[in-house]
Formats: sequence, structure tokens, C-alpha cells
Amino acid sequence: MTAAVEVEGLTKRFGPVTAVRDVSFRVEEGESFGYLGPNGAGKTTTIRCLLGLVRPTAGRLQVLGHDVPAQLGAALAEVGYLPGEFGLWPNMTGEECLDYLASLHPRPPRRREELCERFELSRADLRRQVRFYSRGMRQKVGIVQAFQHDPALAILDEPTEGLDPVMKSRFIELIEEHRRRGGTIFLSSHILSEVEATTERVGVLREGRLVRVGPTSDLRGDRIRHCTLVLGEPVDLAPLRALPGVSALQPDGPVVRFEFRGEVGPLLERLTALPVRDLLVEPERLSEAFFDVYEGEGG
Amino acid sequence: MTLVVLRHALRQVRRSLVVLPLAAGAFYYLVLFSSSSFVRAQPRSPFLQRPPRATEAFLGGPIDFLSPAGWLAAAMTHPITLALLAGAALSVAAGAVATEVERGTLDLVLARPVPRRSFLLAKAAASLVAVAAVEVGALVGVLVARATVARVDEVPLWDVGWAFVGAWLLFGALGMVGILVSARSSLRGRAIGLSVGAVVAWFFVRFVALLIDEVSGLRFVSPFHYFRPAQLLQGEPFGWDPLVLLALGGVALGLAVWWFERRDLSR
Repeated sequence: MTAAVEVEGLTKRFGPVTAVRDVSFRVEEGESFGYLGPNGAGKTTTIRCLLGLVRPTAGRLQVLGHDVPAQLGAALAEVGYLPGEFGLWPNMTGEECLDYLASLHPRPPRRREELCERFELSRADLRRQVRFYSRGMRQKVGIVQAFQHDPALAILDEPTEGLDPVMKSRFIELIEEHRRRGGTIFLSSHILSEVEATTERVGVLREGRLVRVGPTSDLRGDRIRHCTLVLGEPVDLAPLRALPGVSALQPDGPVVRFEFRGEVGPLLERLTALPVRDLLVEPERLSEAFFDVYEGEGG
Repeated sequence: MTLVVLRHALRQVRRSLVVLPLAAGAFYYLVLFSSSSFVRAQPRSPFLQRPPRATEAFLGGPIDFLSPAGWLAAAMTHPITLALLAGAALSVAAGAVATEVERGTLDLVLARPVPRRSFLLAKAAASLVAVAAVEVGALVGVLVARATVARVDEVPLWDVGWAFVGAWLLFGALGMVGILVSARSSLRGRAIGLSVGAVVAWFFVRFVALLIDEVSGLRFVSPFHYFRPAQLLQGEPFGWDPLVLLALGGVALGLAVWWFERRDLSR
């Protein structure tokens, strides 16, 4: 499979400060990749290197098979980019901003109308000068400009900043739809729920170093589950406590809470022997796994 | 691509492109209109017959206040004209990169297949067009004065044209210096401040050099020295002046492109 993004040994120094150190990863075409890390970890610097906005100190970068910066133009012709912090031209209308940005791209903005509808950008909205736009409105225009030409690769830096919950869910739908159409997503965020909902693989960045790359699910539910059991009558919990993978078991009347790691088969088998009235199993939130990885592998 | 950016850059300053040429036209017309009474009456005022050296230094050299050509030359070096032309040149040039970096719009543009060189050249062209627009406004003012004010038509149109070409070259070159400052900057205020500072410093250097004989050699380091409308309006040849201004503009633009293509664009 061709790599949509290939980074090898990327290092970027700004004077005495090393923003990114020897980072290597690969994002396959059609994949949705999350780039996680707290503010200042080097996520945006990596993205800016990929887009040729910042020159790497060392390393090799390829976007959709094109070397960056040697073949930057060819690479950017297939990319849609939503910066984390961006502005629009305040004395232009939303429509004029989108027209201007579309005219700088070789692909026609064929998805614009549909995207404006999806994100509830009416004609009246688009005919207002952007200086009167709210943060959310500007973000919607940002999303439309990134996707309007149906790019093969969408690079999104903190894409849901300023969006309300309804628009966030529409954005997640857009990401899923983009992937179904064969597009690639590179999503950088410090909002873990966003990454959890939209990506299949993540890279975790800490102080400029990539400390972990793997499936999002590895960082999530496969590792730990929060279980809540409601029992019909009091029973001896020793057999359950003895089951490998069970920990933090806390009985509270008929309710028993515990954590479980590992294959669920033996757990279910053990539970059939108990008078279970209800069972709730919650996957570990990515945030917990993230901090686990972040603190464990980084420090 | 360059044309798209050029159109966009001009659109951003469209109000200035209307107001500044109108102001320049009105100013030139008023100066030439005022000149008519002096030219007609030929007053024997010592100030007009032999202006103080500081006045001449301020206006860039000897000025004949008893001829329409002298008044036109004074208009071309008057601080109001300098402000209008520098405003036109630097409003586009000094903000070319710095404003877009500061506002966060440059990322959106350069994340598209727009070569940095094309982007900067388009901004440079917009700056030259803005200066040309003000020059055209001023020229219209002169042409109206030629048609309506006595003796202004004594100044040969050809010489007027060359003088305006000289002014365009001077402020075009200053605009390229503004582009150079902007190409290295990420803050609009700083870029405009530095560019305006350079223009004022050069003007001051020329003023001091013309005023004090001991430092007269300093005039050669000021671009203002290479625009001498009084001589051009007397029909004297351009000499090397346009080449110096072209070289200044070319070097500034070349350096700007070189730096801009290599710099990191971070806010």
C-alpha cells in the first residue's frame, strides 16, 4: 500500500529549541491517523514541515509519494489543510474567502455547496464580511475550504475548536465519509475524544519525540474495561477476585465494580455462575490510556 | 496563480487605490493653481528668488518658484506627495507577508500549490501598481492644470512624463524595500514601522547632505538623491539615476524572494 504520509527522522530546531526530535511514522492511504500530544509537543511543527511551511532541520518527508519540499507543489495539489489557528481576510465575505482559496487550487471546489449545507452556512452567512463571524462560523469556513476540493489527504490541526456539539458530530460524519471515499485523514489534536471518534491509529508525541504509534483501540478498550455488576443476591466474590485480569474489585451492596484486562471469554464464563441481574462494561477512555502511555513511556 | 494573488492584493487596498490617487490629483492641481499667481506676478520677494538653503534641501535641491516647472518639481518632492506615494507603496508592500502571517491567512494560501516566489512577486507587482495608480492620479491633476491654469502648459509634456517615471521608480524601489522588510517579518506593525523608518531616514539623510557641505557625500546613500524632478522638468537627461533606482528595487526584491523562500513561516 502507498503511504499518504511518510516521515523519517524528522528533526526541527528553532534556534536552541528542538521542537521535533527524530520523528518517524507512516500513514497509509485511506487511513485515519491521529496525532496526539499536549500543546507544545510538536504536532503543529510536524504538520508545518509536511506542508513546506517550515523547513526541517533533518529528516525525509513524503506526502502522497511526493518529496517535500522538492515536489511540494505536486503534494499540495492533493492536500486539504485546516490550520489550528487561522484567520480570514476581515474585509472579505465568507464566499469571497472561499472563492479566493478555491482559485489558488488546481481542483475545482465541487463539494463546497454540499459542505456549506452540512455545516449550516447559509447564503446570507456567506455574504457577510468575515470580521462579523463568530469563532464557530470561522471554523466552519475553515472546514469547508479544507474539504471543498475533495482532497486525497486532509491534514487537520485541532479541527473542532469553536464548534458546537451538533457541528462536531457533523464533522465526525464528514471524516468518516471522507474515509469511505478513499481519502486519508491526518488529524492532530489534544482533544482525545475527537481522536478516539475519528481515527484508527494514533501517534503520541511528547516533548517533540514520538513515544508511541499504534491502533487507537490498543490505547483504548483492549487494555482495560470498567465493569459494573448488579447481583440478585449476596454471593462470595472470591472466585471472581481470583480470575486473572480482575482488579480493583469493590462490592457496594448488590453492586460490584471492578476493572478487567484481557480476553473476555473466561470472565463471561465465570459470571454465568453468579446471579447476575445486570452488567455494564465500559471500555477504557482513550484519555486514560493516553496519560498512561504518556507518563509511562515518556517520563 | 500570480495574477490571482495580485488581484487579491489590490482588492485588499482598493479604497486606498481610489482615495490616494484622488488626493494626489487634487494636491497637484492645487499646487499648480497656486503657482499661477506667482508665475504671473513674478514677485521680487527674496524668499522666492533665492529660497533659503533649508527649504531647497527639504525639497531636494534648487527650486525656481517663479516658473510652473519649479512649482511642479516642488509638488513632486513635497512631503504630502511623499506621504501619498510612500503610503501607496508600503500599504501593500510592508504588509505583504507580515500582515498575512500575523492574521493567520498565509497558511491557508501557501498550503495550496502557490510557490512562495510567485506569491511575493504578485505582492511586489501590486505595490508597483499601487504607486502607479497614485502617479496616474497626480498626472491627471497636472493635465487638468495644463488645460485650465495659465502657463502650466509651458512645461513640456514629455518632461512631465519623465519626471513621473522617475517618481514611480523611486517609490517602486522603496516599495521593494518594504517587501524585503515584510518578507522577513511576522508582525505587521513592525514591518510597516521599519519600512517607514527607512524611508524617513533616507529622506533625512538627503536633507542633511544637501544642507551641510561637510557631509554632502552622504546624499549618494539616499534613494531620494536619484530622483531630481527639478532637473528632469528642465529637460535634463535622466543619467544614471533610473539605473540606481532599478538596481535598488531589483536587489531588494531579489533578497526578499531569497529570504522568503528559505524562512520558516511560524507565528
